[in-house]
Amino acid sequence: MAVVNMKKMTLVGLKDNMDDIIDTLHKSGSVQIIEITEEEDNASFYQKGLSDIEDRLNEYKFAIDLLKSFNPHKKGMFEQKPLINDETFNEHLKDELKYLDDIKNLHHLEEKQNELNNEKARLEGRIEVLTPWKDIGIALRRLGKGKYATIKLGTIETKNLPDFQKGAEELTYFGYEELKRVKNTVFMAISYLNNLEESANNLLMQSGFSALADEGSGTPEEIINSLNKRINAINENLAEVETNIKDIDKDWEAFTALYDYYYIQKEKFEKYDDLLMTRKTFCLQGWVPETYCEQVKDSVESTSPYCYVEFKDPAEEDNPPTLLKNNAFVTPFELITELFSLPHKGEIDPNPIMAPFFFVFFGIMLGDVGYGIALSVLMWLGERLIKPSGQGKKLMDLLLLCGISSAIWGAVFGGWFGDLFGIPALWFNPLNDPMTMLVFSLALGVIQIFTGLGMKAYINVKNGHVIDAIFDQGFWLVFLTGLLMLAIPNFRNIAAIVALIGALGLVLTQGRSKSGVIMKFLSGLVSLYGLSGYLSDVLSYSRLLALCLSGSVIAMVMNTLARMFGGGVLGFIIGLIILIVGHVFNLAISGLGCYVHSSRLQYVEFYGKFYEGGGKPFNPFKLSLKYYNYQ
Amino acid sequence: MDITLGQVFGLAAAAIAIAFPGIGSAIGVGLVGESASGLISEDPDKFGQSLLLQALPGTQGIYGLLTGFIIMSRIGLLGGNLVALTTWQGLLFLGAALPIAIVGWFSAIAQGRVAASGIGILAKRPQELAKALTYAAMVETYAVLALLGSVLLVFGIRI
Repeated sequence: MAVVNMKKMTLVGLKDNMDDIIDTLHKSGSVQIIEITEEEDNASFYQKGLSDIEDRLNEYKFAIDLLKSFNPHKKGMFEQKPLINDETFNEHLKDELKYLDDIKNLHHLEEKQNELNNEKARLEGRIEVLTPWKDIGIALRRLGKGKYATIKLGTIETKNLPDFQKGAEELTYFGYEELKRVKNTVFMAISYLNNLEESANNLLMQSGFSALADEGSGTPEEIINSLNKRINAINENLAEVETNIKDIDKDWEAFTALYDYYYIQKEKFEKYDDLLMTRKTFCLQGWVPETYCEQVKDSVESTSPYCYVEFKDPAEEDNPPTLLKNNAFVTPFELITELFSLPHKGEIDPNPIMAPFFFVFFGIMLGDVGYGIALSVLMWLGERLIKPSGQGKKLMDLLLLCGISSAIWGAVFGGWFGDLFGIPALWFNPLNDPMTMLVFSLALGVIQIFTGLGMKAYINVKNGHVIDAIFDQGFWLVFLTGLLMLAIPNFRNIAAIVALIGALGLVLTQGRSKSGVIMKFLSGLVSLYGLSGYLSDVLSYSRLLALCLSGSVIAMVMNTLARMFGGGVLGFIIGLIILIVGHVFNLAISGLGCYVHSSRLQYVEFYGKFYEGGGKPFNPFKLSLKYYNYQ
Repeated sequence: MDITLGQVFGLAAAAIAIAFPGIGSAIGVGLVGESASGLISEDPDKFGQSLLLQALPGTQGIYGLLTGFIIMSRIGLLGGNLVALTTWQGLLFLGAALPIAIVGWFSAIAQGRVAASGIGILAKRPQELAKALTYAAMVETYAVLALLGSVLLVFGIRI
């Protein structure tokens, strides 16, 4: 089937060419490099280079982030990342000193901007404190501790006022005057003789007096005015700094390109850790999909003639990563298996056989022409808008296909947004005839379970275990077939014989690994209990009926609700709103249910029969640029 | 038109079919929501995935509504012509509603617990989300079976 064969590549080359060779592999993106050294032998070699690269990366990141805060450089939804190649990288590298100068400049500008902003914040804080005092025409230089007396302006909360007043009366030579009240705050001026300072301070502290503190000397209004003037000047400076920063925006393209360039360098340097090195040579091992071997070999050899490349089949103890390759229909369904577990070494790819089942089950469960078309159209549009990649793309493709399946089954079962249009079913309506639907669901279950057993038999035969295939799967298939035939009246006699043969075969063979005749027979007998497992597996497919019904009944509920509002323009509008909201809700919740339950049937009932998984995904060493696509 | 005792039972059947699984689902969805909020406070990007887990225990409420709706349509409540059910017929409907009412209620809570611990999987190993979903779907099997039982019973009653 469709697991791609992996070859183990061993590459030995001169250290002088190492950088170029790794660069070639990086750009080819078809090799997963194996870590063959565990000690940090090479650390001294690459650490210095790596830290230099990281410094550069940080510089460019700083510049890009700063420029972004003024000009976000947002791309349109349909816009792709621009292309870039080595030539452009080299051009930018040639002028790098200039760009680094600009970045130095940016650092200065940012520093200045911060200073200005800090000062502005400080001044604004002062204004905020002074504003409530604006209408009080006392020059602040008159306040404070004089030769004999102290004068203060300040506020206390209204609730503390009575205590304050009482305390103030007990002190001789302590005067206060209420200036104004705003909400719960009393603004006041106080004065006391200096020899009372200690007790006055005590009183002020107890009543939560907060004194006005400002370094200015004029009246609050005068100070505010001069502060505002200063802020205006700062704003002008800030605008100038901003223009200077924006001027450097012309370097945007170079900054992003160089960022991507150093990012590539960084990834490359980090790989040095995985190589074996001597003083003059290095050795690299990696997994390469069979189909890419020639291509990789050619590109490496054209990079450096002084190297040795060899491809070998994985050895017994090797554990190659898994890469799947399927046709356009099956590929989206790989997601379902990826989320479960990829095939391990030597295992077959279950996707081609699983895909049709998932396709059909999802369709039956959602079972509505309207929903199916809506889902497909949404996914089609979504793919064009978001341009997903990897698993996101697979998921959207999967739902697109499942939408088509739902539309087909919807026509079969007469679901067009539930019963909205009253279009009759091509076959039958599960709501009117749930028993037929139940039998149909279980029949599909029997087909899938038989397929699963057949797959296991195939795998056994393929691995040379023909006996196991006959005893473990063959007899079960015979036994189950016999039991199923019992349901058909005319075949009762033959069915009983077939079932008996199957059962006998199982009793005689299932205990074959045990020692002693009695043990063999007993464990053979016990194995028939496995029938309950098959029974529950088949019954599990009744969820096809349940989800199909739940989706269509909720749709019906929405339609009934909408119809209740009956005629009239208003009724029509309200009805329409209910229909839209209701059906969107139902599509979302039923769609989730269909996805989860279709998956579950594959994972538990189907894969349980023959599939193990446990493979690691093929994760090649490839470029992943942030701002450009490498050409 | 006189109301028969059978009609009262029939209505009660629809009511319990809708109410109890609804209670269970509300508790289950709530449980998952509580754990999910903890996760989101650390990692807001996982909102969409946690929502998948949270929606799972909600299906029992839908199954309940479904059964209730089928009962309503069988006893003619939706068409406006309420069938004159005998007391025994009404009790039959009540009995038919029990599987989904009881199993829906408790399985939603159990599923809520599984899904809530699935939030832990999502937090530590988000790539294994499918396994968390599968665990929760295992619980749902019994709600599905109960729904199947109730629906078949409701359709089996002769009126």
